[in-house]
Amino acid sequence: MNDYELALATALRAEAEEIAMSIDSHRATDEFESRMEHADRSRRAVYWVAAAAAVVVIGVAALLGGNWSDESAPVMPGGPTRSNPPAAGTTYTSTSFVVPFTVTLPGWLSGPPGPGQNGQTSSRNVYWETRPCTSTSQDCWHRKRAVAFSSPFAIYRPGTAGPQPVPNYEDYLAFLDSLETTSGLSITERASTSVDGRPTTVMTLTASRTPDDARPLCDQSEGTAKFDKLDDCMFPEVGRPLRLAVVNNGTTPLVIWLTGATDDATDWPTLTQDFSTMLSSVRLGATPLPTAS
Amino acid sequence: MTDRNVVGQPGVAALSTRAVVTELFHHHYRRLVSLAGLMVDDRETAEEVVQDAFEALYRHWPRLRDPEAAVMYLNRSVANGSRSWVRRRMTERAYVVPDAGTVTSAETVGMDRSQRAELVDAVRQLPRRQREVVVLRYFLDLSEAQIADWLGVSTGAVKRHAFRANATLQKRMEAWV
Repeated sequence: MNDYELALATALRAEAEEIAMSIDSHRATDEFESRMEHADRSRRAVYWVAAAAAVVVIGVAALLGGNWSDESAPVMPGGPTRSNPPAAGTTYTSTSFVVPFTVTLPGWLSGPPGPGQNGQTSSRNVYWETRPCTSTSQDCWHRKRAVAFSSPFAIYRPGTAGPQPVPNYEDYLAFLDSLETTSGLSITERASTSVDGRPTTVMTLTASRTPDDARPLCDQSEGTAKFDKLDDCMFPEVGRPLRLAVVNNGTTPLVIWLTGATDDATDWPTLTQDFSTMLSSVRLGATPLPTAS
Repeated sequence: MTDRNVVGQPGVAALSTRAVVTELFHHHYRRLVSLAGLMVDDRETAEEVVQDAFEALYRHWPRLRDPEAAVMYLNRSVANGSRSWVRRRMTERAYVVPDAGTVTSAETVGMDRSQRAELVDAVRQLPRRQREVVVLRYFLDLSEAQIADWLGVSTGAVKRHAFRANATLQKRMEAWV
């Protein structure tokens, strides 16, 4: 280690020592005890709710004579329902997005799109996220869900320097496919559908790592001077699957996505169903997307 | 006390989850806050990140496949949380943060307190990636390959970020002469 490296290491460790010295251990311990208490209470509450639900199910089954396959059994008003249906969603109409749209959001999102960690409402990106808590902590990250409408203006292809123009719908899908072999991306649950009459491909992207040279979605304005430009572009986060709908809108594709965490209390299939429901509610304006810049 | 003293000792299964996690908390809290404190901007946030990591460990303990991996889990959670829970996640690689008690004093390497503060401030002003590389390299003593593994990038990228960071920091230090 040369003098510069030694000085740097020493400065960092001295700083770390100061940080450690400034910790109030008693307060920290009390807070952690409180957190464990809260976790225990939550766990007990879940057990009691599950037990109560089981009792209710058994009771209903008994009332129906215990014949689960009886097709003459009474149907609940409103037809078949899921076990955990979302609440009625909010309908949102875009104001400045390059493609005017209207959408009915999943019940767990509400209100106008707001500034998020990776996005803000702009002509290229309209972004909502759940706000289960306000800190920048790991636990908040695990509980966060987000939905966005995106009009990418650039992509980063592996092995090429700098951003590239967004290709057309077919080539964009091929580019996504190529990331499976080059960039640790896994594509599953692929299906063809339509969004307001436009041909659309939906898929789930899961990342095993974050490559340093590939990004399928750049829709933010220029980054601040402190950040590398590639870092302002999106790649699925490791541990957070991304449900993606690529909509053929004539020139550059429109991308609509949802993300959640697999170890969230809500299961991923439910979220993807919410996403499908949301897609079926989308109405797009006639304004075509501009050519990629 | 090493990690194995806490988690890997015989009979540990007989201890309650709460007792084991509390023991881990007492042994690792300060140095994990130190690590987080170098990667985020203030100690309060660092403490919150570490508290969250321990809470997550406590909640997920029954699902932890290998209890001996608890410290690895904590390191991962803290580094991940410190890096703004955005895009990166380190891999399962054990590392024990250096003991602050073995720190060389700043004076012995010819730095006064203001210079040290200035250097740390310069590190904090580096772009996020460069700052992560510097902290992992010079505070945790990780190799370039290990840093690449933790950050999920290539070693070439680590070299580039380190080069840029060092150029910035060395320029700052040259101004002292």
